[in-house]
Amino acid sequence: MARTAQPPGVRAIPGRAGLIPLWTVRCATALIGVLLGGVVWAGSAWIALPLVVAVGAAILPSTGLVALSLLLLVVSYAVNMPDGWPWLPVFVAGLHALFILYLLLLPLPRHGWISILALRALALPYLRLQALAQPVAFLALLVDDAGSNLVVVVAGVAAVSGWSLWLVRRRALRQADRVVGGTST
Amino acid sequence: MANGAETARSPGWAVALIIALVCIVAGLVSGRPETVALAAPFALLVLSGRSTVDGAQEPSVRIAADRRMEGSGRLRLLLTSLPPGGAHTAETTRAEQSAAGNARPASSLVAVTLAAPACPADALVLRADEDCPLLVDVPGSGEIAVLSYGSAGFSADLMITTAFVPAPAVRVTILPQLGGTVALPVSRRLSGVTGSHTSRRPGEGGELRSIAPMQPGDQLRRIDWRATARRSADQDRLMVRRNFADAEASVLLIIDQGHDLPASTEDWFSSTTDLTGQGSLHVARTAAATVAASYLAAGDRVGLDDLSGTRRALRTASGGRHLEQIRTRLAGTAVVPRRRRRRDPVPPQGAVVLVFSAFLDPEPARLLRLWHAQGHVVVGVDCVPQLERTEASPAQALTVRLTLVRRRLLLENLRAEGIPVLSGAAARSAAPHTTSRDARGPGLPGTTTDTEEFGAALDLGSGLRLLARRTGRGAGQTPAPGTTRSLP
Repeated sequence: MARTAQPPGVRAIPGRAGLIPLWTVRCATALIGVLLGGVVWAGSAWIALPLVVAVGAAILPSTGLVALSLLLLVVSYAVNMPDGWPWLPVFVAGLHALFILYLLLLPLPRHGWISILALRALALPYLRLQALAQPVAFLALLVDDAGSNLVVVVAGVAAVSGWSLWLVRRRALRQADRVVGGTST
Repeated sequence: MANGAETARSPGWAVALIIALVCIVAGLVSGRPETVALAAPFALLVLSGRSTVDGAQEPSVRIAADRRMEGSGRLRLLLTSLPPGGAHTAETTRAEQSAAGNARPASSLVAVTLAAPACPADALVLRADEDCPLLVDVPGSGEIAVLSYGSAGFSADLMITTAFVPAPAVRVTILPQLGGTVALPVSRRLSGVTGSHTSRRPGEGGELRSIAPMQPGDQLRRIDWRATARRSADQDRLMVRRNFADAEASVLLIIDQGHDLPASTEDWFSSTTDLTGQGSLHVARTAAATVAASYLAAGDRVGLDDLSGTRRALRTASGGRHLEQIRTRLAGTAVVPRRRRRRDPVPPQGAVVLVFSAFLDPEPARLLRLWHAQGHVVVGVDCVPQLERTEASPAQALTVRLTLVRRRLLLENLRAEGIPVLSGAAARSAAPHTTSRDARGPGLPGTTTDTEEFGAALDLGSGLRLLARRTGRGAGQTPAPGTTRSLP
């Protein structure tokens, strides 16, 4: 006479290794959101708000929740964090990672798997963007510390600009080589 | 699959744009370069999505049966990626891409949404050139869509997406398994000219019919010298042996596909179809395939028809290929509402007719009586599986009980009229390599079955063995009233 809550069917499951359950990714996303929220809202009773929103955005497929969670983090950083906070590069990396994971989970059903190769494919453009975002974060810290020293600021801006140009030019050259190699064969 | 899917910026592109603008404005207003720095990755993502809107790949996947079973009723499917053109195989495309120096298709990703019957959807995120085997549950027999799926793709930075494209569901056909060989009751009026059964006609068979004086037309090799010496003292006449002719039997299997009664009584009231595939129709398929294989192995002719009258009957024929035809036709049987037929199925002359039904309505019983009255050897096979009483409410329990009582009365009336009704569920539970002698009747200790509740019914193997003995013993004689009571 007992009713069972489980669906009558049996799920299709992947038959190979190298796959990670989506719940792991969701937990990692929520953890990153909680950590970033905990940092910028430390010592405030409002800390519960970004934490709940972060966990909700990791579980529920809602673009609004994602935007709200990220805005809460960004605005609270601007309001709560002191000038010259040394963990700014880490915060930038965490915020970027959180955004990517939110976007990944947004269109997916709650249950599922993701392959390690797919995660690597996601990590590659992430690292590529971080190669530009991290120098910008360091430059921001530098500008904040030595705002009155014009030489230091100009040197920093020039270094970051040079680094960015080199990265962009290198990528353009690589793409051109690929196109030439493809047409010659 | 997803070929031809339109690419577009993902909603994340707009979110990234908003976050970047908020960071920049907040940083400029508050005069904090650190806040502006927070916008860096988002601004770069916006630029990335803007520059690659024309270069995103359209993902496409295909899932096909791998023809391999993974034990315990699980079928192996293979998810493969298809090239954007869709005409080549994935291997060809990979070879072309390798030759072109572009081993990976722009490292884009594909999200495949999988939905097994009566299950919530699952996601499988793979790199666009990745393959993945999938394991799905399949029923014991029948045709079923085991997996519905669709795919959407996105670029590796998640700024470009393609629309979700549903694909045709994966359909598989599971042929019913063959049980052990069963005994073969045959009619007393065999009409075939070849086969392994002894008919009532004179001919070239192996069973002695009579010893008589030689007459014109008798072959010399038929002379029985011992009988001649014994009976013809004057040696003035020769005695010859005359035999019965051998003949094959004709068997007609009738499947009642009007109902598919699940084993769990709670599922009788469910709106979804029985996904376990262990219902009465599966029992009917397995039992019919077992009977067909046994008769065809003996060189007999087997035909197949259904009570719904939706498909053309499979005419009686013999041979291994015909067995495969029967199994395929059986696998294709699904629940079809019974419609009014212009005329009832007509069994071949001297055929054994087996009706596989759940006996929930009087139509199968009416046909059994009709063919029994016409002189055919008829057998009803009760295909209701061993029931698990899991009703969820008193009303359901009452409904089940009334249904079972009605069935019981129907079956008792048939048995009282000399029409044997056997249990097909026991044939299903018997292992394929066990003989019918090993097949036990239904009713495991601790489980409640309707056969236990309403009187025992012989399993298919034992019942057919008894029936074969009876028809063989009573050859050429009409069974006396009441002798059929020995059979259920």
